[in-house]
Amino acid sequence: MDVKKIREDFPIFRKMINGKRIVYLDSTATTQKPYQVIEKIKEFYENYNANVHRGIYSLSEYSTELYEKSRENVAGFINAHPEEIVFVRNTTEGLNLLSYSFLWNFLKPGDKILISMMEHHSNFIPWVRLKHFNIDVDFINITEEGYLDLEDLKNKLDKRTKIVSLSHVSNVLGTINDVNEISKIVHDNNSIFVVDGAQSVPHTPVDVKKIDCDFIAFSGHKMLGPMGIGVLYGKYDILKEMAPFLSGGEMIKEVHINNIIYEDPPLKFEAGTPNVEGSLGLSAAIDYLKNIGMENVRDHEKRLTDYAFKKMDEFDDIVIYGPKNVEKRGGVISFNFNNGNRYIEKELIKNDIFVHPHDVAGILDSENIMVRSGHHCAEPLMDFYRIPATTRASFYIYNDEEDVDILMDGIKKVRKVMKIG
Amino acid sequence: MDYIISVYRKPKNYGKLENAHSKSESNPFCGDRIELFVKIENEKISEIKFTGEGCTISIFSAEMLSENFIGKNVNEIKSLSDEDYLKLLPISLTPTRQKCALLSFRIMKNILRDLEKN
Repeated sequence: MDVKKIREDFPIFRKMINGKRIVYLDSTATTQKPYQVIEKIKEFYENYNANVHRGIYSLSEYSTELYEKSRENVAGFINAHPEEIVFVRNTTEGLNLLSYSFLWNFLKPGDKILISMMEHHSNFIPWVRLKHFNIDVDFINITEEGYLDLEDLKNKLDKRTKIVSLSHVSNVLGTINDVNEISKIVHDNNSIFVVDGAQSVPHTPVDVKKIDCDFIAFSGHKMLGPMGIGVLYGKYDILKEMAPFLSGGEMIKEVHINNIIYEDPPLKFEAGTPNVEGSLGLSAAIDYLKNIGMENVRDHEKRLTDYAFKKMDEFDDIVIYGPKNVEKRGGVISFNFNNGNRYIEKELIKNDIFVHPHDVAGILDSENIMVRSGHHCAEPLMDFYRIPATTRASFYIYNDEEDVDILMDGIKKVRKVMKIG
Repeated sequence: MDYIISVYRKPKNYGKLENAHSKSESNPFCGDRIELFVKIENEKISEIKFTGEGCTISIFSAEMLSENFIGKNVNEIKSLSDEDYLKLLPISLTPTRQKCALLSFRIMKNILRDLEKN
């Protein structure tokens, strides 16, 4: 993979701050965009803009065709059928759609939903909120190294468990959950298996038929696409039985005062004018990724993570969260300066070995190194490790070994400024 | 920066106060959490202490707040805006880090507001 050449496709990397290039290590939050995606959006508004599924005139026919072609491209990317692809705003909306719709005509008081301790808030709150309707939510444990405890999953699965919703790849620990295996376990219990694919679909080949998941949600902006477009894949037979989420225009066949007939999926779930530019941008992003090859994306990130781990080994006061085995984790590295300990035993203020991630990120920013610091929308996981936050560096196709080296120099600067080590 | 770090590592007013007005709040962006303890005598702040955890800026700000506000009239503090408060700090901050600095000030204001209500 020629990273230098890939970087040339991204206009933002031409930007210099204080005479230095940007080292962007926050692709887990959002990725940068290649000009192929940016141009596609511009092209749409300059040439084809009209509302979809409405007009008889040629422009509208054409924009509808483009929108539906995007859907086909997304479907092909994860080995699904186009009618199983619902366009949403992002992963969060996809998961909210599910919890709302299931509540409408599938869940009843006393039913149980299983999630895990490593979930992003977007796969946490939409389910935990259902407690208000007397639906139980239980949490699958994780091991100290950050693996999902499959025995605990088996123990907590019971007759009442209607849904199991888990992240494919953790946005903090990087853990790749064995969704193929989990899918079998969950389906043996006749429960529905929902996958949060926000951190997997952009980084590794995902085949929904192979996983045999019932749903997977992911965001366009985390895979080179624009913000505001995301995808919810669902098995057609289940989508057909589900109640709509948002309602209004676009999602109906007939509306009378006493009778409303909804559209078939996926339109049933796409009320209102959709994000056509977003779908085109996402489709262009998918073309870009397909051109590189998702196997290559995965291998590249694995190699970078391995390289970073070896470099970080030099610092014995740094603790890295999540699996050490790069085969079982993605290119997300969360770490803390804490004398190599995962847990914080003392009050921070009396602890002169811990450096708050905000300070780490602030000092790295002074070198144009962009990392994320905070709880990464995974506060239950922070509670599990008894830490307020971590610093997180994450990789994508435009990062290389040089970026890791610059990060290491940055880490040395943090130690110097904060007078540790 | 050296000065901020030396204050952060050994803040003078770190600790708890008995029989004081207190409130604990956190910064939703990063999870920084500060608990402020305030004693008031004759409409004047007589003592401030704080505990909690946070980055250098939030702890530094809590320490600066306690050092600056002891002896001040309650109404004087009430009349301060966020901008006024940030000007008291000997550092310039980006908008995100301003949130770290403003955490303890927000708690102080909320303590005074609660007292007014009661």
